[in-house]
Amino acid sequence: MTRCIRLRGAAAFVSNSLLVAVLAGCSDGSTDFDISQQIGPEPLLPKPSHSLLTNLKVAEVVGWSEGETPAVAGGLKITAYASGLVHPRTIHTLPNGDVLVVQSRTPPGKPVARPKDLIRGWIMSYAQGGGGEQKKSNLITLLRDTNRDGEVDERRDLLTDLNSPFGVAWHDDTLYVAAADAILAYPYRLGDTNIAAQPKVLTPLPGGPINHHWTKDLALSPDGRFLYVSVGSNSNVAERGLEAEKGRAAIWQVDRQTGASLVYASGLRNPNGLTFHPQTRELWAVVNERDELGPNLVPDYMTSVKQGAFYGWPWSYYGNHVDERVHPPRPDMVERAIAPDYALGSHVAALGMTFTLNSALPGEYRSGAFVGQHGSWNRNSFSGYKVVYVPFQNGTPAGKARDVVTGFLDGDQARGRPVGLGIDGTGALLVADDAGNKVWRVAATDGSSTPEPVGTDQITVGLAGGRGQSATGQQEATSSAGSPSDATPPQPPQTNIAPAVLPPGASSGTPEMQRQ
Amino acid sequence: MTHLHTPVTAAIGGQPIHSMLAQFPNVCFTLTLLTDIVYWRTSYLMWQEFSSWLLLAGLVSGVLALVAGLIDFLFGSAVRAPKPAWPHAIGGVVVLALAFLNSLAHARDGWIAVVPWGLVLSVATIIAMVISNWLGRALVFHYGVGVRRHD
Repeated sequence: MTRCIRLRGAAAFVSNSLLVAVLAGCSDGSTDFDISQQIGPEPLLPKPSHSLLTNLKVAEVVGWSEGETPAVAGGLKITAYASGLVHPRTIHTLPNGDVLVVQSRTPPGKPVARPKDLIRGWIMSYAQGGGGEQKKSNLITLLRDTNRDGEVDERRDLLTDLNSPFGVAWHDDTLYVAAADAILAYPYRLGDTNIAAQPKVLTPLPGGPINHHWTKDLALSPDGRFLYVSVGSNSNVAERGLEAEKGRAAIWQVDRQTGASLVYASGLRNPNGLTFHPQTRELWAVVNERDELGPNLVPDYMTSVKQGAFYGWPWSYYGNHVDERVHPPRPDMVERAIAPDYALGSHVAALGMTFTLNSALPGEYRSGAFVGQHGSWNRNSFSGYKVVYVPFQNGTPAGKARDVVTGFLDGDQARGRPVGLGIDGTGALLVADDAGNKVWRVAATDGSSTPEPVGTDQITVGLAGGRGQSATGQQEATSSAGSPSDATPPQPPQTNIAPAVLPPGASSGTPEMQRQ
Repeated sequence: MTHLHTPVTAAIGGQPIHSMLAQFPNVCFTLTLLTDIVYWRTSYLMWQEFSSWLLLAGLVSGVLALVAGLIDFLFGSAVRAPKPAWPHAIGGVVVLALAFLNSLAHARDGWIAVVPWGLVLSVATIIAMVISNWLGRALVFHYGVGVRRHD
């Protein structure tokens, strides 16, 4: 049964010729648009449409039947790595090959500002497969493939009852978990199958009550010194006011030892999939761009994240394309905005990314990045709902993205929705499927695997220094272990948190400072 | 001058339900124009949120008033007979249709929720409402629709 939600139906009760005339004027127009024009470094950007009705098509989540799997490109095979998970969102491989699956739900309690929020909330829960009994989520599960045969031999819930966790990172016997409102540090040695210790709050992050884009992703810098954390915007396009966006739509740099933070880059509406390129050691992210400008605006993108750079949100997109919904206009900010590196298509909802250089996948997939596209709602025809491969050359995208894992959609229904990606301890691709509640494993058909596990975060610089610091770091972590409430306050204090702190080398200040 | 007395169908204790309810959309849509103007002058989003809720409240109470009015209209040939009856009935539908369009306009994000189309629709709603109200009052004060015999 097809169940597309259409606001258009709601309009039917008002039989008025004027209404009909206006509604006729806001058809989708997507049929004539070749969406491949929006994949690559210079996407075609049509004129924004401000129609009265939002383009809307949401897939009903039906789940996977026994034996059903997504489809994969040639040379690859796909198997279910783990089933029965509860909203798996992020995959993280530890240096010993253990895989952490972060499962979480949207934090509750978001205040309703306008009648529209009620409708939107209902649509979003529908698209997540809401309804029915709600199994407990917000946990991190450890999956261990002891004999490296591509099947999970041991499964343990490492942490439970977290506050909507998303990103994880591990270094110096410490597991960092980015919950919806803070980075928590747990003492954790590789190989442990449980964590009993209380966490320490490394750095508070912008949290509720709104917390519109709540997913905080984490990446460890190659020198092990910093954590990078993504903080998504609190709205589509600043319609909750700019005050609600303080420190948001940004990627923060957090000192791993002190918790001191600053805004590393801003104007990034909803960044996720933070990953360092293994060769260039540049930070990359996938970013979800704004909605309600028509079915073919604004393309989501992947980009290298330049220190101190401003990427436009909310005032503009793709450099200097002004969004007139934000008032008062800020031509000075629009002028500062830089364009991202590579567009992935409008409304695909890119939420996960992993580089493939250390994988054991066939050669054609060995020098680029996979991107997980959760799938659209703000279009009359679906986009996304798949995993694509973007080839790279010399550290930059080179060539068109191509489909690698598809078949998440079945007509107008969704069997699953891909989110976070990772490379497991054997060099295969793992895909978190939050609607299908599974993790899929995509491997080379010839069964090849890497000689040894490679962790998601790789320390490639200053290894000696990193080890040297590890003793102190560990001491600190254990000595101050206690409940989150009596944890040591972060340094610097929260009155100085980003973005009031200037990024090093930034001459013109952060967006927030300029607003004063 | 002869006094006309035309009781209506939807009434409680002889008092018409339509006239009890019709004041709510009138006030809500009037305030919507005011909060829209304040948002337009200040860019402060709180006023836009006020407008959205006022439109919703006006639409819900307006639909209820319309239902009561339609019952009177359909079930009383004496209610339909006066000259302003049809224009007032159509006017009520037009007001609600405009307010519905306006609530769609206000459901958009940011500045364009109000400027210019939200404001234009708020003004148009009020113009239609003033005309429709004038006719509605004529029905009561000239033709005694809903007025109970009390002599």
